[in-house]
Amino acid sequence: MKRKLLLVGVSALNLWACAQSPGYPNPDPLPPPSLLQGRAMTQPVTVRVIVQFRQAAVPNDDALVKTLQAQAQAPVHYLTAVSADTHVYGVQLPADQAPTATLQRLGALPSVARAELDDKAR
Amino acid sequence: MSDTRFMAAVACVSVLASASSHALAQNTTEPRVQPRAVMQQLWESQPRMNRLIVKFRDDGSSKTTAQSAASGQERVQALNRSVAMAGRATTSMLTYLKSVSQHTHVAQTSATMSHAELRALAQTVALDPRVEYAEVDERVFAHFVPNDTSYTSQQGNLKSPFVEAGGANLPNAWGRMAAGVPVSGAGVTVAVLDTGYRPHADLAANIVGGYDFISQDGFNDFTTANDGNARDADALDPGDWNTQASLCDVENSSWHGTKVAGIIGAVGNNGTGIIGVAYRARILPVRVLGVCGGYTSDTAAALQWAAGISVPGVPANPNPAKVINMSFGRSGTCSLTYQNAITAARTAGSVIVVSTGNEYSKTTITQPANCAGVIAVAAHTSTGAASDYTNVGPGTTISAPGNSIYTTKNTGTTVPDADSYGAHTGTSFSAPHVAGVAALLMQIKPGISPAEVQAHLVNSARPYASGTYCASHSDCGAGMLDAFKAVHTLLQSQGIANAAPLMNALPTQYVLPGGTLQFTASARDAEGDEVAFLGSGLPAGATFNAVTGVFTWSKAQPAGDYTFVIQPTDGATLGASISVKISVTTAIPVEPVVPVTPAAPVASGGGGGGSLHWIDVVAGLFLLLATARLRQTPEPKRVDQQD
Repeated sequence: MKRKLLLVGVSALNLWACAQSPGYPNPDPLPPPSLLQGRAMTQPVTVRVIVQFRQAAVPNDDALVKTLQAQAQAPVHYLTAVSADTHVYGVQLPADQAPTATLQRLGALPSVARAELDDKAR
Repeated sequence: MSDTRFMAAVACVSVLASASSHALAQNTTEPRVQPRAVMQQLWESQPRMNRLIVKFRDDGSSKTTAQSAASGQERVQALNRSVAMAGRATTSMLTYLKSVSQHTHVAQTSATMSHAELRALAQTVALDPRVEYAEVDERVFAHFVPNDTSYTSQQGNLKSPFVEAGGANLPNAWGRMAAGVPVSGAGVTVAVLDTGYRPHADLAANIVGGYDFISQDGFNDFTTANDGNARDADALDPGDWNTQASLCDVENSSWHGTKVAGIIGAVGNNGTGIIGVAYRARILPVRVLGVCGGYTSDTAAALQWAAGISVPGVPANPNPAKVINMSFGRSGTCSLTYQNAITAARTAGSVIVVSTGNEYSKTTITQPANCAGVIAVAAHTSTGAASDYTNVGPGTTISAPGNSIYTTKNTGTTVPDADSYGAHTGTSFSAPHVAGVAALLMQIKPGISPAEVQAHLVNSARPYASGTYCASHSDCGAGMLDAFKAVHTLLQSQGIANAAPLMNALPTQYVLPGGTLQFTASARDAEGDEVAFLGSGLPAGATFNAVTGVFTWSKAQPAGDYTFVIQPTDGATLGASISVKISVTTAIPVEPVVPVTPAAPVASGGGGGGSLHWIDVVAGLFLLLATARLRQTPEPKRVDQQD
């Protein structure tokens, strides 16, 4: 229980720190971590998720990405920007796993206003 | 040849001769059914003028060019005395300007006058016995007919509704000027969020530097982008062919962005290919669609960038667009990401035009067309019926031509190859018509708000063709796009009037029962607009071409008098109508119905103005014989005229 509380605290601190940082570096995607290693799963696919933060963030900050990964319970890497407060992340999920729960978890973060699946139009 | 046929032939000759004589006489008169107040108002709106053409009677002398000019100066100078003697105020003196021929000269008044004043002066001058006629030296404006080689044969979608019922009515819009520049989208940037562009020869001159907004699909995965990299400044379309059935349909490259861009901004009047709706607009290509479409996020980023809003990691847009076209969509309610971007772009002053989709739905339209703050465009056919494939439903703003739209493309099936043209169907191709017209409005009134643009487009839309689906369903939007009406309403709001076209008078038309009658209505328009004609009271069996003004009655019967009413229109303003009397009769008068303008007796006789032409006399004699013969046959029974 103490470990969980500690993890939440560290995540919150990370998000707060990120939110205070000025400027937006060029997209520099982190390689997706191997959080899924060792788990029996179907071939993973990258699901693109649009995350709107409550205030401008440094979207590819290591700590922020790690926080998102922890919350998504899946590998997350930064992809690109939509606007100052809205960014796109790639979340690696098993091909047979619907992203709904992941979106809900990400949306539950205090610093996140909403999380939306980045669908394609044509 | 039997006697009866001979007499009929003679009578026909007589009718033709008489009718042509009448027509010549009548064409010099003013329309007969012009309400005075309307005419007065119309002429008062004309530019002020100062030129008269005066033809003097032949005095029998033969002169050199120099002598003719000198004589012209003297003769014009002499007119001032007769004008003064006629009691006309001589606040303006006539002076010789130039010669048209030995006896015809152009006189100039010392002060400009309204058209009505100048016409009155011409009438006074014409009373001088030395003058054969005098008329206002009218200013003539050329119709703007693009010389693009495929315009006439392939671009009915841009023409007036009289040529093609569903046409977007561009020609007379192009004929207007804004700050001395033809209405053409000049100076306005239109962003095309699509697959990028090919530097097509009929498009390249209007392209300004865009951006490729397609990001990586995942880590080092550039499947959608298909160019090996993520966002960059290269908006060229590398092709969007797909060979993986697991991703989406296997298909060739679409060159969709080049097609859409061509409809909006293909270079006009360059003697080749097609003309764009806004043929002098700047096209800002923004690449958001690649293999199997494009992401919401990339589109939202591109939308804001196109409108001049900064996007992290992307250089500032040096050519912010006032109009943004998006010819794509997907099912579902409007994504918040789309909505946020649309709201931001509209707040920045950009008009956002989106296609409603091609899923045959009559209840829902796709996103982002269903987002707040966009102009959602459905499609209609050349006949003005809603296209079967078009989505319509709540949120639909307007409709535009979407079937077989001829535009720029590329021959490549995968990677790019050669420039080409082709006809394509879908709401993807209706939306760019609206985007183009929005650019015309932006040119006329720089700084116009997106809401104002939308209001002009909606308020000027033409009703859907009666009897079609959208004529009785409110979810189809305001109606069909009408470029000229939209331009006209905006110009009108700026105090710029549009002169109504004026019919040229037509004499009574005589035809023998069973004979063929053909005549052509014509009109003039101060702005040089294309004029069409609305006819009513068409006799049964007769036809009337609204574009050419040609009336044809190949077998005129039964005998009787008919009234055919013709009203000219430039597509935005109706002119006063004229009533053409048609008499199907065996008793065709020999004398003109309306006398030729009276002229002083001419000693030399012959074919002078006002006197009967010899052919009238001969024809009249034949006619008397023919009439006597035909009266022996029963009179045809008359039926009521039909519309």
